[in-house]
Amino acid sequence: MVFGTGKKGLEIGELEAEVLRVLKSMGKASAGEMTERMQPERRIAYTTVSTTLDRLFRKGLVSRNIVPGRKGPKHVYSFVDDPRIERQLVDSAIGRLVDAFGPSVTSTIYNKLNEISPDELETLRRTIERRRRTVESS
Amino acid sequence: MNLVDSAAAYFSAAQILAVIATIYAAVGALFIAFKASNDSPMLRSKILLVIFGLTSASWIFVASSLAFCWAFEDLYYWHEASAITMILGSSLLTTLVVGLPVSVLMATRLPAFLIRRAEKELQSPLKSSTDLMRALVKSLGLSSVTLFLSPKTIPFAYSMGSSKGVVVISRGLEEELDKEEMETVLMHELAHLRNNDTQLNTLITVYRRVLFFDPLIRVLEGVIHREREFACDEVSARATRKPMALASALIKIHSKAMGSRVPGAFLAGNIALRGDGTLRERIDRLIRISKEIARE
Repeated sequence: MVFGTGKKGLEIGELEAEVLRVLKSMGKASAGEMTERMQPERRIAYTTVSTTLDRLFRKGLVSRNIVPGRKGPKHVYSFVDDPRIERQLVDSAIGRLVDAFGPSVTSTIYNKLNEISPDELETLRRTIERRRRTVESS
Repeated sequence: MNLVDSAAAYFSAAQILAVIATIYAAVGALFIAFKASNDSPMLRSKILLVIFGLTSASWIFVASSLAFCWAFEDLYYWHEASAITMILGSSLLTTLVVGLPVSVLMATRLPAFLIRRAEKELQSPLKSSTDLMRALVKSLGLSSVTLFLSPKTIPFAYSMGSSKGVVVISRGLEEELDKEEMETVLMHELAHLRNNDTQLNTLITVYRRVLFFDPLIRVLEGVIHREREFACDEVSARATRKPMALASALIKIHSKAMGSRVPGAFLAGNIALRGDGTLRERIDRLIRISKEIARE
């Protein structure tokens, strides 16, 4: 699923999300380092990563500096942690879903947010089990 | 004068506007009371039920008003003011005289009919469950409650009827829960019976179907259901003094039965959950009760 970058501007595709996630975990990285990190999990070319990073930079989601490297100067990218951008992304994604499915989509989103993840369920289960053993064991 | 004209004259008359304003004021006041009564789920659900009753009654009132506008159309030629008073009186009377008995009949007869139909497909549970049940029924002071077993493998429990009701547990539930968890789940179901939740569910379901266009009814249904579950959890937790056993049972039921439809549980007080948010809240409440019990 790839979302076009229509006139609404700030939208994010699957590959961009993946690159952003990896960059966030690395903090700072060049396109080469990013490709190396992503290679084991998916077959991805250096040029794909560098184009994607460039696109993210144009959208203002990452920042970059030029630093000297062995084969000449290169871009080093870093993740921009800006709640305004995050908000804008979420707004445009929800807006697009509402456009497509109508307002009923918000209740689906609400249910999704209310869902208990397996992790949370496991934590709850353990808390209850512990308390049950200590308090109700009579 | 046609129906549209007479209805327009009727609904813009001062008396009618006063009736409608009174209903809205009452609903508003009750809503404020609901907001203020944070600690008692039983009180909260009672307030909600009155709001629900007022909302449903106001629709019956509107419908009977329209019917009488049509029936008494000729009266308008004679004297408009008395026509309006006449229609108002007849409509209020109809709302009370027809709405109340029909609701009571529905609430009491429909569940009994469903119980008789459901019983045909059910079996007898393990002796251990029946013995447990007998002891619990005695402790709550209910007259006679029968326990049935559904041969399904998903764990669930539901109850139908009032003090002479039935509780149905599934084979999956018997296999999944230990004795203490089973005790708390049965107690939760008995609390539903004692609170007459089947009758309420029946009324709410019927009115929700009839008044499908009123979003308030749908919202009320969800909230009332939540508060009733909280109330029954609390009864069970305090009576058995094992809130964590109930919480543990809820988690087990949730992990196995979430998203599956419980067969035969239409209109019944049902332990399975609607939505994960409710589960989280129920467990939070049970932990709080557990801490209170520990302090005593």
